Amino acid sequence: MTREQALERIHDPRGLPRDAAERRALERWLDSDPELREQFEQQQSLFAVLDEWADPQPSQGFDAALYRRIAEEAESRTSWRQRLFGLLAPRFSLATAALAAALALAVLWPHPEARMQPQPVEKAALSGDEVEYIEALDQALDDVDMLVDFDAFAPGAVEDRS
Amino acid sequence: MLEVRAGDTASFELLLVKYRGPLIGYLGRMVRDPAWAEELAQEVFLRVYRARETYEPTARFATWLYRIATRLALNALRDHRHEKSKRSLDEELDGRPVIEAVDGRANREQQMLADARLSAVREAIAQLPDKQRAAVLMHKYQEMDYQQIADALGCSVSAVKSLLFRAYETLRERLAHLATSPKADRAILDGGNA
Repeated sequence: MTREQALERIHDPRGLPRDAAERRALERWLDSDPELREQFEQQQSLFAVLDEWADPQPSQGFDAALYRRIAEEAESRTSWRQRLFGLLAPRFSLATAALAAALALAVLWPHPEARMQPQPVEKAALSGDEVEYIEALDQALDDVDMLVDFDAFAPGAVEDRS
Repeated sequence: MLEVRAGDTASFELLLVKYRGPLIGYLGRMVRDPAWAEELAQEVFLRVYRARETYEPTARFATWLYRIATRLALNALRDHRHEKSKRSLDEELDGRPVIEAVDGRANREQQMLADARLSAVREAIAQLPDKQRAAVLMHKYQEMDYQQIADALGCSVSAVKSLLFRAYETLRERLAHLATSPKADRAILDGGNA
């Protein structure tokens, strides 16, 4: 151990080294160097005085306050997203509804040639699958109507209009 | 921290339990105001929580934590130094009055003496330059080694040794009168400092 290392060790707040060899080396320095010995004793006194300042303790409500702040932050982020989607959602829904209606019309609208010629009676009779298909389309159109109505109550729709 | 990064809130709770006390202790001594220290500690943990997905394990977690805490505390002190200097030391004794109601004159005198000594310690540390104060608090009270302190303060190990050497030298001079002796105690009670 050099003198510089010994000087470092006497400033260690954990006290004398635990390692026996290191401890003996430091003690040899302290025995042979009065200046180091004096500094060591003064430093130990200083540490004892500094120990009078006990650790400040966290208050009871610290964790609760922290989790409240985390929740508030999460909430503010969520509401930011909600506001954004609230503004965009009616437009998306209306566009989707318009597209669905256009597709439904394209599928359901009779072909021009078919309109010109009266359909034979036997061909007008629909199979069970065809009936189900038309009912499903009808249901889809109802759903689209309902979605258009629903958009009127969507968050942001009122703000949008005001 | 890597578990917290993966979104494990139980790991965040473990970090909180492990570091809450030491961090509040450190910040409490840095800013000498318990409520303010808790506010700053919450800010540190909020930053940990926010950064849980981006944290890179380049440094030990404790070092990272103290680095944030030190920066926050020094900024807070700089911003409120003028305001803080108006407050009396009596108000700063952990939020309690210096003289507490205790039974008997001897107890009261002992309490006054303890408070006077504590005030002297706090004042001596408070008067150190910012980096010296942070280094002493991390070294003495948090038992961090030179490398950890250097990482937290963003300076070299030799700079930390120099900071600590000068800080302890100053403290030994300023607090020499607190060496326990009845004469010294009387002087403390009579005049605050010897």
